[in-house]
Amino acid sequence: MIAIGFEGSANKLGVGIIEHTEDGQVKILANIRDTYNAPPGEGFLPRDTAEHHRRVVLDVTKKAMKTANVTSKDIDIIAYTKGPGIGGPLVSTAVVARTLSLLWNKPIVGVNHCIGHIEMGREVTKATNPVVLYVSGGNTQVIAYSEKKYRIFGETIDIAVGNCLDRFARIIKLSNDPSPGYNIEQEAKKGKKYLELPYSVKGMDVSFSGILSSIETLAKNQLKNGECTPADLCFSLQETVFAMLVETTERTMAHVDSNEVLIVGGVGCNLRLQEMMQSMVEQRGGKLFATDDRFCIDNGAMIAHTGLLMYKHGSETPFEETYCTQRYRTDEIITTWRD
Amino acid sequence: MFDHQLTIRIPYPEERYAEIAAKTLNVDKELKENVIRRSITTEKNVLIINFECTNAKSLRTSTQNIMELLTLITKTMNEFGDA
Repeated sequence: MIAIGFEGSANKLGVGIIEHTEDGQVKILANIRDTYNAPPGEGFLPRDTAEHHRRVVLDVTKKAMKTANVTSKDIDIIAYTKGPGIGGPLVSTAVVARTLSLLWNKPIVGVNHCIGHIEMGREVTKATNPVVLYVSGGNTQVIAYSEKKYRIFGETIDIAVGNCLDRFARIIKLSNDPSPGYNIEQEAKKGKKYLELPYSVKGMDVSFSGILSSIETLAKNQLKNGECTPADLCFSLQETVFAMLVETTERTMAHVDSNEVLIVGGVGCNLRLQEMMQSMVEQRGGKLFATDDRFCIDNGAMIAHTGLLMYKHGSETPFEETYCTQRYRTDEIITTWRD
Repeated sequence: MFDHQLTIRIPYPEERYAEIAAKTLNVDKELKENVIRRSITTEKNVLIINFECTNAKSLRTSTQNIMELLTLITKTMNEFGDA
């Protein structure tokens, strides 16, 4: 069976085409993405992002179908991101999925974005039952599977870790191309001095807004007076927030007695985070699974893959219910496709 | 109350296309039902969008939103219609 997946919950518009073969293989036939970047010092705004998605979605779709070498007749189902995400961009993308569903007379499946990341990560890395760290610009969750649900063991109580990084990049005017996080990571490699920041792990949860305020003050004072460099600040911020994430992930591993960790979400491509996680996991005799930017960063293939898993287990979305929802928690979904 | 009104009639080449546009748009409801009422129907090959609103500003915002989505839907049908 072949599925086409539409992702547009934030500033990336992605269309992916996935095939599940009869002998149980998963083939990625296409995975095309077009990212909307705001100028340095600015974040992407919902209105501009929705406009971007509307402008590029049809070309990206054509490109994906061409790459996969499929026509509408080859496609069995259409999957789209139902949420969580930003309203305008979500709807702009969903509308295309709905239109194609009626035009081609194909079933449609609404997919939870977080579940999309987890299932694609599991498929690409072949991790069987990992503790999942899901870190992106909009989400920060430590997740473990139990009895038909992905349960959230810890999460941010305010902003996402990626949002903290993105907003810090704006403060020091780093470019948003290819992504603010990538540019922080490169800058951090040149950092020499560690400046102390608040370390806020609260039980199983984490908090980043205070850290952002704190580093903003450092940028206004120490950086301005030449007492530290932008690289030092990038380095200090990464070390602090990643240590917090590694700590809560380790505690979850102990809770659920697992020795596998899977990192998904846009911040998951950060190699320093992977390195810190790796050394923790190694000490526990476990294994770390991570993917590169093709699958870490929002993409259409993960929506197509998860949509197909859901469809094969009876979760088609009735057309009238193909709306989007900005809030859609990971643990709302019954994972019919897992034992 | 609802004295700001607007009716848009858009003909499509075939009845089927008008119906696809209506079904696709009707999934999303207007958020403030006490401010704006919207109905989207078809009459043969014509798509009919009707707004009744308590103020001109909300009417303008909702109309713009619908027209942006409708443009995208129409382009989608143009590009991918000949299956």
